[in-house]
Amino acid sequence: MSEKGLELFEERLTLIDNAIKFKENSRVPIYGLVSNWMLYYLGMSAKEALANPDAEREGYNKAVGEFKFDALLSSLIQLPSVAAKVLGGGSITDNESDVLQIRTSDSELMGPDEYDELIADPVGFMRDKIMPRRHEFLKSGDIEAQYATLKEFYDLGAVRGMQMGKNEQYLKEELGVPVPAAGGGFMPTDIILDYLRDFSGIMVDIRRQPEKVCEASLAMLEPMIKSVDAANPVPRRDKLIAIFTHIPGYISPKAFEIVYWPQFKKYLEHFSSKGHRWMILYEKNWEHLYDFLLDSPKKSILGFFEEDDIFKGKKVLEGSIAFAGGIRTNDLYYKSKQENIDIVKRVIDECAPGGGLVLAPDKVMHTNADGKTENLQAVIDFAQEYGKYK
Amino acid sequence: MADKKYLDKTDYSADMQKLVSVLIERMYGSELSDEEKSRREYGIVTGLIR
Repeated sequence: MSEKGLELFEERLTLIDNAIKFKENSRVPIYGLVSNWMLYYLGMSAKEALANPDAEREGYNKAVGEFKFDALLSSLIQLPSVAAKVLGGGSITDNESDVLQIRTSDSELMGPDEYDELIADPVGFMRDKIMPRRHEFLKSGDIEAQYATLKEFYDLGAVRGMQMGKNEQYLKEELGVPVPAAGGGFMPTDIILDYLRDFSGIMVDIRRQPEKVCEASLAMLEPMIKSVDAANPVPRRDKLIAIFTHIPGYISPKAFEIVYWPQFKKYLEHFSSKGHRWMILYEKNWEHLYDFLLDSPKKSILGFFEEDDIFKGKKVLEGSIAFAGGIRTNDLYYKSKQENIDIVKRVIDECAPGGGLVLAPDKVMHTNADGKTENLQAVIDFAQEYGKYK
Repeated sequence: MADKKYLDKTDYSADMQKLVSVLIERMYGSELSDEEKSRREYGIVTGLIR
């Protein structure tokens, strides 16, 4: 264990915490919203990383040390799920790609007339109806064979979990880099979208039976809160409950108010009242929903905004939600080093005063098209100096 | 057009309940409280619909 590492770890936690609270900071923190892009940086394929976890870990840690991020999305790369293959793939695309992808148009597992069943017993409905519709092997064979398949699935997941846990400890103790994301799950409406009704199904439901979507989401929220409560029994200085949102960017404020906001607000308030803080990935554009966001718990959320205009968003959400962004992946790939520096300079000039700013890529970096190494490095080097509060 | 898997109305309820119950017992032991079983079941089910 390195004393310097732990000291740095504490410094970085303070940077993030101060940003969330809009408190005075020594400099603007930089969040490494980076996933499989690291594979490109390392010149390694996902297949090679899977075959050689030691090389993956060593390469990842070397890259983390070089980029000097103040926090990371994950303690290792998000590899294609070997475990999912054991179940027959599920919703994961098996395409030999280096990116973990969810197969589209393959998740209409629930009918539009089944909402009442989902509302009456969300866990029972998903167990009895959705699980066998998702996985063919659950429709036949004896229970011991099914159990053996599931055990293999969980054993593989546990191995990866241990690798990630062990490396999170290393990142903390030796490199001083926190990995704040704590499991907060997906919001129930997003589970309905991703795994029950698929995109076209839920969009029709939102038009034709929005109250049912809302009721189902609230019914699903109850067991979800219990589960997340148990996983996060007390607030931790090094952890933020993480939520990745999916559907809000596609729906109107009116629809959002009916189907999404009730569960979202209830969820945020439940954990905020206990002192938890959040990192929320507001996927797509949320500018039409700022009136709702302003009613979120204040100074306890680090919001990663994918497509929002940072200059507008930072101003509107000032004093409420800390804004993470300002480094556009598109610019990192297509623009020059100097152009990227100029963009980040403007972000710091206009958005850093008053606190509440964390520099981060606007999207999770997955592929090499999400940014050129030299541009990302140049932006970070620049921001570490220029982003100091005087 | 996606395959509408929900049109299969076969009832697997008893088998799924038994399977998840066996899974919880073997993975976490038989001494769990009802609350803990329920929490484990939520985690298993939401993991296995993906």
